[in-house]
Amino acid sequence: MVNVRSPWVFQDLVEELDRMTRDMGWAFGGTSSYPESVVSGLEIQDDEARLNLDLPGVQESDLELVLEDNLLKVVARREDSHLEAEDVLLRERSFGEFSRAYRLPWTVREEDVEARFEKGVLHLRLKRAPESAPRKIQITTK
Amino acid sequence: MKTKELTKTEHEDQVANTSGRGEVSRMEETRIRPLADVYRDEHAVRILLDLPGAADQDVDVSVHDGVLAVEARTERSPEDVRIYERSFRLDRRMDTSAIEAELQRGVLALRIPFLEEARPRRIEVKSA
Repeated sequence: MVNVRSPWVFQDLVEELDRMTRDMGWAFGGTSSYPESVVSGLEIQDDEARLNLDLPGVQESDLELVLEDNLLKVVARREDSHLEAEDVLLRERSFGEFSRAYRLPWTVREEDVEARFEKGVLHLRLKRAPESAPRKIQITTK
Repeated sequence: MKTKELTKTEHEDQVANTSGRGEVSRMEETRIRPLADVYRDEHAVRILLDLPGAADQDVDVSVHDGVLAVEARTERSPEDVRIYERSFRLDRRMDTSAIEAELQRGVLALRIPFLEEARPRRIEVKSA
């Protein structure tokens, strides 16, 4: 038995048309890069904050949120999509651990955090904890 | 999700729609080139595209003249409309009529098999 493999030229298999797409994007006033909102994704208001974070391909079980006073930390892990038997023609999507911390201008009400993970996007809604009431200090005189 | 073979007229219509100057100035959309992985084994090419926020009905996969085009329009809010687009030229040994597409957790996975006759074959060698 002889195993005959057709002589593939790997580079010929998938040729991108991205340059064309990019040029068209510029010509029509579009952009090929991610908008600012995707990068930061955090909207802070006086007593509420919303975070939308793109985490495509992340499993819910590989997503962790840590909240400490006014510091929010998002840790996510994405599996390597490459299968052992495959050749890699193009690889842009990162894998492994992702971590990002956000500092809010106020303390978060921990019991009132809304977290939703849908279609690869994490949606968070954080509310401001009420300030502790001003405390009067009694001064004793001798 | 729609996967279709475009006729020439449909394709020209699409091009006309996206290149019309008036059309674009009306829209407040952000065009995004999604990140991609492309892998191949002896049976097929596998393309993965990050399309966070996209649902099945938002994604359009088409093949015309050997070009595979993916477009997804997501509307997170009236102010946040994103159009993901990316195209790949496919080798003619690929079977464009048998493309499989699956969208999971914001990642589109496309599998394009090689045409039957283009696949590596085992050839029996007989001794005389």
